[in-house]
Amino acid sequence: MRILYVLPGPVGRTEAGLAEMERRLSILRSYAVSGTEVGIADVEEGPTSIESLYEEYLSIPRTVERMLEMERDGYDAAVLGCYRDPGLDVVREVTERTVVVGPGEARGGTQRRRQNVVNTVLGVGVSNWVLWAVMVLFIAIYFVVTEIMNRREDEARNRGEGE
Amino acid sequence: MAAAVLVLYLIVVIAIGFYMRRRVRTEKDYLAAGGTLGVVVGGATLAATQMSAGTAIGTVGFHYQTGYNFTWIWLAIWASWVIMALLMGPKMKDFYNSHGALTIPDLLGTRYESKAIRIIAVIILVFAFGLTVVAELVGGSYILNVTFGVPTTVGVLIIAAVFIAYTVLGGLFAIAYTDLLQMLVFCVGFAIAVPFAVNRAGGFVALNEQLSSIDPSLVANGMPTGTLLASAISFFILLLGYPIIAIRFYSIKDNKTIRRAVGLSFVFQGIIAISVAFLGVSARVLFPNLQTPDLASPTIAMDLLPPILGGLLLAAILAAIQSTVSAVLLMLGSAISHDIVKNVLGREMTERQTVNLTRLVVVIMGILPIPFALNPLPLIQQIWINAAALIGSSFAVVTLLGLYWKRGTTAGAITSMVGGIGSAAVWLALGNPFGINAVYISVPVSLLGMIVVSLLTKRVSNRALRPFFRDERERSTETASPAYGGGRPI
Repeated sequence: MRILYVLPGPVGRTEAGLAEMERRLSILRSYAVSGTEVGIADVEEGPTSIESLYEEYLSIPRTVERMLEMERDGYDAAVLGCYRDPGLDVVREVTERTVVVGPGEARGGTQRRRQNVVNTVLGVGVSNWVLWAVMVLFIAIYFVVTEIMNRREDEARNRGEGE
Repeated sequence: MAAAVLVLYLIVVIAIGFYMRRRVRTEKDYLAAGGTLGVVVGGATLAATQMSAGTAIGTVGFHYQTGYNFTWIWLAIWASWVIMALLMGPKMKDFYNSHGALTIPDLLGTRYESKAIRIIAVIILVFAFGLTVVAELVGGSYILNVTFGVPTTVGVLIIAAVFIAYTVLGGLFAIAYTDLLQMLVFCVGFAIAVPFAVNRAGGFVALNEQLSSIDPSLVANGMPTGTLLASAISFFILLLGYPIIAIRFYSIKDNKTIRRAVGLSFVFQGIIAISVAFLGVSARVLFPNLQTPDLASPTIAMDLLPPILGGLLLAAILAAIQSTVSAVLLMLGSAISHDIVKNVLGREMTERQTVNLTRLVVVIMGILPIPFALNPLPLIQQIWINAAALIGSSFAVVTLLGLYWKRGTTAGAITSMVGGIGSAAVWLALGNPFGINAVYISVPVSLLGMIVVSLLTKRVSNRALRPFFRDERERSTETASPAYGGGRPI
């Protein structure tokens, strides 16, 4: 499998930018399973950092072009390398077979999945601890209530015998 | 070594049956242990009857698939049991004391003054519970096959021979005391396996971290709340008046003992509920690529535990199967001999003849399912679910309303039973359309049939109500009616 990490700005124009690209590539490769090829690329023009909607929109045309190129080169998937996911829906619209992932959207999905287990004690969801406590309580209440019933029945019987 | 533990267990079980043979003198002894069971044996037999291969194999498999939260189901089961213990148990015990009742058809036939109802109840019991014997035999032989390579035919014959032997020999005395042993084996076998499994997974916290990395929902709400609630409601309804559980109330000493025995059965069930949950999730981490989740229990027994404990766990699985099947077998035997031959056909028999006839019927009812178990139908696990739906749909409403609603009539009860089982059968045959469980259709049909037809038809006589309603008894005493007190089931 081949995956390309696409930066939506011309990050590689400077030494510092190139170093940052190298750093990200090495992290990405450490995540990849053996047999998966991971590459990194940026775009030729556009804002070097995206801090506003204006910059986000400016970055989209070149990013889309880069993604189409990536698909032609035979990549199976791409990661849009910006937390704002600039142009993610547009890229998905124009690409045909490549899977494109945006980190912002992916984090939202993970967060939703984790909502269920956000409260854990010793790794188990609180709802299960509540369940186990309710089971113990159920049995305890049952014994208390039925013993009260037994006592009342005995008293009624004794009264009956006394009379 | 594991095999030796298993063989030892089977020998002890037969020995208990042989020993208990001496205590059987009358039909009451054979079918209801003389109505003398105490808290410990009563609690054990109630719990053992409730838990079957479905618990020892199926529930562990459910936890393997969905994580911890399937345990909520037990609370629904217990809620149903509380209603049985507090509302049904006392009335059934009164009926046993006053009329010598021994079966559920006894109760329904007397309450609704109808031999037809007695026959309908027997037919439903024989058909629906007969199916469950097939499922249990197949489940047990499957365990012997995957663990020791015992051919399925031999496995079915071994398991059937053992439970037929001790049921025939000692009747409910044997069943109750083997249930006590089986419950201890079940609790100890499963509870001891838990620390081994959790420890192998790296400890409790590590186990949960690994579960969470497989799927975060496994440590929280693996089974979606809607699905869980639907299952819980259907379990709750199905178990109301569930015949093999309800019939046990006759055999326990008195109402106080019934209530305490049910409480003790909750303790047994609680230990097993937590154990099966932990074994299921541990198996998910330790053996993530099982061919089927049902292999979780036997795999833990054979691949994880030391041989003696592995043998104990396998014995526990067989114990769960045998305790349920023996209870079913005795109930079917009594349905034919006590209800049909003695009460419907009116054959006069001595106590000895009655016991011997019941023993003969137990042997026949034990042998009959064997050919079906040797050539099992596909989706055998589904049989239990369908059988339970049929049983719950036909017995829950007539039993509960029969004990608490005087206006319930013969025609209403017949409509309720036939309508309930009929609608359940049709719904199951259609494959549960719209994903709606058959119980949600059949129980309302059964309830509506009972109420509407009862209100439109003539009420039963006061004589039929007396065994179940105190005010009717008191009224009867005031008018010095001789019918109550030494009566026999109608």
